Amino acid sequence: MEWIEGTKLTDVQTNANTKYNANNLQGNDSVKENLALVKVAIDSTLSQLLVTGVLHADPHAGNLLKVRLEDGSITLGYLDFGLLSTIPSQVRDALVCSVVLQVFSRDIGKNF
Amino acid sequence: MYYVCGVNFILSSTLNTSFVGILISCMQRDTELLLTVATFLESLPALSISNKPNIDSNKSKQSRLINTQLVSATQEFMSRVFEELDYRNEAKNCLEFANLYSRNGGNSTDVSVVVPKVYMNWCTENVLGECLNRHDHYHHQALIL
Repeated sequence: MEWIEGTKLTDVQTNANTKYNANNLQGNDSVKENLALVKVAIDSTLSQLLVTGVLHADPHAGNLLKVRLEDGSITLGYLDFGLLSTIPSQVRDALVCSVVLQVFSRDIGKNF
Repeated sequence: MYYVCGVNFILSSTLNTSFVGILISCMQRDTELLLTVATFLESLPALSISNKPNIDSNKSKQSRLINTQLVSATQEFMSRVFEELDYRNEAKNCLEFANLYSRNGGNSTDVSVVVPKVYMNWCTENVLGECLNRHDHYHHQALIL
């Protein structure tokens, strides 16, 4: 297994809140970066759940890494594939259909 | 779950396979003990507050003290633990995930993320692979799990 260098997505909280960290700008930057990665994580999980059906069933903060690539850009890294669920296509269709059904019957306001 | 940590720790230090075998047989015996306890707990009847016998037949299903399928839950839990102990399973999962979402050769167009590369030739039931970091010897040791 390949070694992947990265930081936890939750590490930013401690960095931004420490008084020793005088450079607040850096903290804010990494908050912004990490929030962008959280969005990627949500997209990724939705894609796993609804499109491919291969779901990483344990995507907690310890298993998601912020990886800085050679060109300086940041990407999300996944670890720990001990639990990988397979979602059957009927279940995927049912999930999409139930959401779509609520949207078309203008029923979403009652639940959200 | 302390067994899982134990196996990881032992493997990282000595890679002694026979000891892992002993641990797994130990876990199998523990599973049997847990199942015995679960069976006993499931068989306990509910405490009746009054001494009158319960005539209502609808409530006869709820006459146990613990209304959970403890035996099934224990079996499910232990089978999950044993599954997690086999690293070949995890390596296979990792490959499957990488084929879809890795930024190096993933098929999905939705997102691409970093997925660790698995060296299948180096994977066994107890070893999940080999760190091929040329720069850092500490990492080399850290990833032989």
